[in-house]
Amino acid sequence: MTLATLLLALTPPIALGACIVAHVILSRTLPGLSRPRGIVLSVGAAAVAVVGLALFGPAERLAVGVGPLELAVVWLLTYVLLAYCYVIGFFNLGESARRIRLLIDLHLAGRRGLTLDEILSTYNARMIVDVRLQRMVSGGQVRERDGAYFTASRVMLTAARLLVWLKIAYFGSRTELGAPATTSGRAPR
Amino acid sequence: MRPIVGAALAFVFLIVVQLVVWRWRRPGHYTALSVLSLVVFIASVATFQALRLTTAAVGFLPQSAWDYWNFLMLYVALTLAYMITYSAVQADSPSMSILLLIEQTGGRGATVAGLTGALNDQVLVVPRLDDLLVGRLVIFEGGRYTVTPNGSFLARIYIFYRALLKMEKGG
Repeated sequence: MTLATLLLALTPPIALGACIVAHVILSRTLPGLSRPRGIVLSVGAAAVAVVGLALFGPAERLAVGVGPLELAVVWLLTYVLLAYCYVIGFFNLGESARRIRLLIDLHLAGRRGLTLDEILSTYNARMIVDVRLQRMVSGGQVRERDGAYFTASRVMLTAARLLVWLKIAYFGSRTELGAPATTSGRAPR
Repeated sequence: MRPIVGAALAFVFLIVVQLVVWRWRRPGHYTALSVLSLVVFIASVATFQALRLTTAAVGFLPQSAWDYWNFLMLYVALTLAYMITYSAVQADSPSMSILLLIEQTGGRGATVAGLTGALNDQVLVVPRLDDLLVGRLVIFEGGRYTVTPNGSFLARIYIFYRALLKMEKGG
């Protein structure tokens, strides 16, 4: 197996790497670009490259008895799933995940650490709710009138209901707190 | 399309096994699902090979080394995407909870006070601290939460990534 065939066989993960590099370059060079648009552009550019490589590139070097169209479908599917992992599991986690925010706060606190009260003085439920409401209002999922908030998009509400159904299927409960404890139980506080 | 069929069958098998095991005994550590997906992958490859040797009517399953390579890449991508989505199902998302609470008001709309009454620190912050403890990214000693070396390593990755993208403080 030559280096070229090895690289070709690894097309989906290499495309993911290209997507991440493109995303970083776009974010740094075009600070005015909205985050969703930056994601769509970088994921889309690498997807086009994957399909182009499978349909018109040197895929025949692989000599595996698979047609270019079939190869394009398999690679594209794999790449899209990897890109989903990057966007939802890494980029979005860094932007909005409470765990990562708490972890960074504790890391910055150093060896002394923080008490629960100290943590809550800089990051608490009120802040979390305020930021989410702000994001959903600017994203058009929620609208505000006379101090009250209303849903403005059925898509997000449907997604929320779907999550509730999945929770019931997995844990037999509509909410996280109502679910049975894990085998390692609740941590001390 | 043999890798796609193989990955889809293995993935459905993973979901069914997980639903059965989790309803019976839900593991606390997040690596449990990774271990289960590896076991399912090995069982799937063994089953596909056994079927190929015993019956000729399985042309839709992976056959060659190339098929298995693409099957492996697709299965790994599929299970990683699933694990990330599962993690979103496991934890109550504040945005989704807000939408459901607004819906419960039946058209009257929800106020910030009403929302923070239901979504308080015990609901939104403390369970996530529990996750960090269970994942051994943080320890709790003498009334203080302290980050472990693994936790510091992960925090540094995100600090670097945010600086790279010029992102402000998240959460």
